[in-house]
Amino acid sequence: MPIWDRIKVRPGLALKMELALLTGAGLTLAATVALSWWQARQMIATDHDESMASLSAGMVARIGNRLASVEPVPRYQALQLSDTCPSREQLVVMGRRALESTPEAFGCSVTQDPDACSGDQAGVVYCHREGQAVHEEWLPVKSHYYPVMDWYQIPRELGRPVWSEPFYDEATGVILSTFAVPFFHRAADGRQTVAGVAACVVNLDRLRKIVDSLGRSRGCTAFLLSSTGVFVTHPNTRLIMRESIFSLAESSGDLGLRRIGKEMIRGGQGVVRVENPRLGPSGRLYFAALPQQGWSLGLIYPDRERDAELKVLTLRQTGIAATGLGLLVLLVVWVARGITRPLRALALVTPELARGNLRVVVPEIRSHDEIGDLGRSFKAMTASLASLTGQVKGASLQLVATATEIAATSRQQEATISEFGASTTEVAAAVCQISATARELAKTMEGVTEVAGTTQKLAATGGGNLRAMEESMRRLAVATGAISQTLGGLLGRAEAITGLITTITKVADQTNLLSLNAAIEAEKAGPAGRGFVIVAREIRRLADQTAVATLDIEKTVREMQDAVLAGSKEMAAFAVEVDQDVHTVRETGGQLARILEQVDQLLPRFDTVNDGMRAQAAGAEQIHLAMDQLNTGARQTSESLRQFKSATADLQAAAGSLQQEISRFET
Amino acid sequence: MVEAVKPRYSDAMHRRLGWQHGMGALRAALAALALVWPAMAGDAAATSGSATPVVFLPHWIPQAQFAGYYLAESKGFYRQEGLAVKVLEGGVRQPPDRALAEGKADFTSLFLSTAVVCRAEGLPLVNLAQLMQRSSLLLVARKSSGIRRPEDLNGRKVSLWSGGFEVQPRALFRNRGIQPLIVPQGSTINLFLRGGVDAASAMWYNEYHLLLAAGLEEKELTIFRYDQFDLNFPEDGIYCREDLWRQRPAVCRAFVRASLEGWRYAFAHPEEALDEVMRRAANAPTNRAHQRWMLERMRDLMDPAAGAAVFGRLRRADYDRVAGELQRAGALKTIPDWSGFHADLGSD
Repeated sequence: MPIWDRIKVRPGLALKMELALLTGAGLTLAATVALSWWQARQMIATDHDESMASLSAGMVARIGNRLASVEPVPRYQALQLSDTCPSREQLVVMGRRALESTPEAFGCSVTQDPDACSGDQAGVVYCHREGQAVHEEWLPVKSHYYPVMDWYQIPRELGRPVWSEPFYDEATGVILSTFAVPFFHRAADGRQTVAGVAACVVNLDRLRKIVDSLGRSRGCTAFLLSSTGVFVTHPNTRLIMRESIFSLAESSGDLGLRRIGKEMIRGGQGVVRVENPRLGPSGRLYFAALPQQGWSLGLIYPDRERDAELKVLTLRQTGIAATGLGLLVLLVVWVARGITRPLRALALVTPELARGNLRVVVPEIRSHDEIGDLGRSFKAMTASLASLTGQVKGASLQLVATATEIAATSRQQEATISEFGASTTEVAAAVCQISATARELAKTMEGVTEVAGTTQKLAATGGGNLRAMEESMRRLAVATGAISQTLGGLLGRAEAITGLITTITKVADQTNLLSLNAAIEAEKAGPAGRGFVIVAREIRRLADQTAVATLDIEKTVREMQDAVLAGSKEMAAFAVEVDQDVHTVRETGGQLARILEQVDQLLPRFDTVNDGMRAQAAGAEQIHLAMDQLNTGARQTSESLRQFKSATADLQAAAGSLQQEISRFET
Repeated sequence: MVEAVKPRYSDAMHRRLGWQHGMGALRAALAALALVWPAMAGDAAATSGSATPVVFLPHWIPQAQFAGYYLAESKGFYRQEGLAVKVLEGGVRQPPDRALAEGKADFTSLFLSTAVVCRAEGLPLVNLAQLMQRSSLLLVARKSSGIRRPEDLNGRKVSLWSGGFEVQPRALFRNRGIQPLIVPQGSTINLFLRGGVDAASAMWYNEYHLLLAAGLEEKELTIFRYDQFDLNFPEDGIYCREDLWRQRPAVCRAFVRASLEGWRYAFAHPEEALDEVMRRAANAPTNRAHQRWMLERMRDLMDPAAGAAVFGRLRRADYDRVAGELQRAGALKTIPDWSGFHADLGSD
């Protein structure tokens, strides 16, 4: 029952429950307050967007109406003045009437264009109030060049009624704006030309007061921009007619404000956030256009106003939340105490149980909830525990006896295994020796095989050499035959030379004869034949010399013939010797070939022996491995037995301590 | 439509004044000033000890266009040159040519073209220094009206200031054979803003910025600068009467030196210069952002960084161009002699 261990009932439980509940409730309340604050903010914003939009619309309508009230008279007069050239007196009357019938007007004027009627009439009739009286002025074009003044030129060039940009009146220092309506002369061809302008001027001072007071009453900053963005009204009077929304934007580098200004003078309407200290406090700007004038009204609802409203609302909500939280605290404390009281009673009993006192009295809990169930279960559990402890006591005694028996058996087994281990070690050593011997033998056989191989290779080389020698001898015999033949040829030639010599000898003899005859004949001729005697003498001497030379040649040829005959005989004897050598060499080659055959047959047998040796070594190796494994097995068995022995000892000890522990329970 | 031949800057420069109640008040004011003046001059001389009392009249209302003179006075540059300068407030009621003629001012600022015409018509003034080196007069149109080149102005409504301000645009139209419908322009740019004309005149340092300050973007506008069409008319310069220059050249030199020093100081300390300008323009319907733009443009137009050879110098070529164009426009019969018009202060 692990849950029993975990619930250690202490007085802190109630506090924990209270804290957890209150934290949850507090967070929920805080979230609710935050959410409602945010919602309130949105609501206030929406609320103000609506009310400010309607306020600005209302203000725009009020200003528009006020300004519109000066429009009818100039419009009516412009209609009247179309296609006429009234006299100056008539214009004065019209100017007065206009002012009298327009109480809102600061002044009214009727102006004739210098190009429209005769030059004398070109000028302005301007009527304005001085106290209750109406004062009139005649300003001829010569002294007052109005054709280039905005109030006149813009309606003239545009051909339609125009509200002028607000301007300062130099004389009174007030801000004015002129509403001017052009009137036309229609020519015979239907073309219209502007003949002048009827106008009334409004003092914007009252307008400024309306805008300022309305803004103030709502905690807002209200201002009016002209069609070029210039401040016509603003709570900060330094801005009026000096600065425009664009100059503020430029001097503060506020591009957003420039965009807002463009949207405003474009005649737009909307809400936008502004943060420009010179324009006003940070907040939401509501703007709306005065379409007739091209002006724009702006209302800034400052953040600080919204924040103040929000603060009141938030304070109220926080108060409610705090009261609720207080009540919750009381309720939680009461419930928590109710739950923990019986738990605390149970908690007092548990230390006794922990000490092993199973005879302790568990308190009775009467409630019918989960705590009641817990109390009853607790009681039943104590009873079951007592009976269980009794049973365990008996079992532990038996356990001790069994453990002792097991220990004795294991000791015997250990001894047997030790002996087995020793035997296997011896076998392993013997096998190891066999294996080593076999390896050495194999190595020796490999050496023999190598020597046989080398011998085979050398014999093969010798055979090749003998074959080459036999071939050389045969070629020598052939060469010897050829030489003998050549010597025979030489003898034949020598015979031919001998024949030639005989012929020469015969010629020399006859020449000698001839010279003799010649000498005889010359003698006969007397002195006439004396020259001829000398010739015959010389011829005879030549024939003698020839006979001597021929004898020398004959002798030399004969010596040569003898020498050739002797060489020829020696060559024949040499050829016989060579033949014998060739025969001997062929025989030696045959013997060597037979040796090679025998070595070839021997080599595969060496390989067989070698393979056998190697197989024997491998077998010994395997036996050795097997013995090793056997040994390891024996060692492991021995280790297991040792562990088993220690486990048995532990079992014995545990059984002992169990017996001791169980004996602690009082049942 | 009245089109004056003679320059009429006072007409051209009417600013947002709205209703004008005739010229009576103006004349009365002028007369009163003329009576009071000698006494004031005497006072100035008495209070400044040995310093020479002189009067300077800027040719228009207090604005950054004259910041250098204001600072030369307030920072004591004039005093250091031994001058006790009284800076008058300019405006529509104080035409500088008349003030010079009547002796109400010793020194004035003037456009070069005005000064040339005045000299030709008999007012013996001399140019002591030429501050602006470039024409700042522009023609401005909306790109959305399809105007990209001067030729696009053909048959379109263009408003021009009268007098001297007409010379450059009319020369441009003449040179290029353009025939716009010319409408006289008043002192504001509202006619252009309301769409009454397709193009209007504007000074780069003033009306052009007013357009930007009325929500228009530079990229939405086409501008024609006359110096891009060989019609550069340098504008503001310092003038005095010839007799003063002949009799007291040292005073003239001292005045110019101190004025240039004032300008250099203004460009180096723009915020201080703007404080001074805004102090003097306290009653004018203007704002600091606008004056800052104007001061920055002054620096562009005067180009002090170009050094002593340019800053404050009138070049003969500029004089010849301006006088030639004025003659072509019929504003001059004969061109005044350069050496008489231009006072050579030397290279100090």
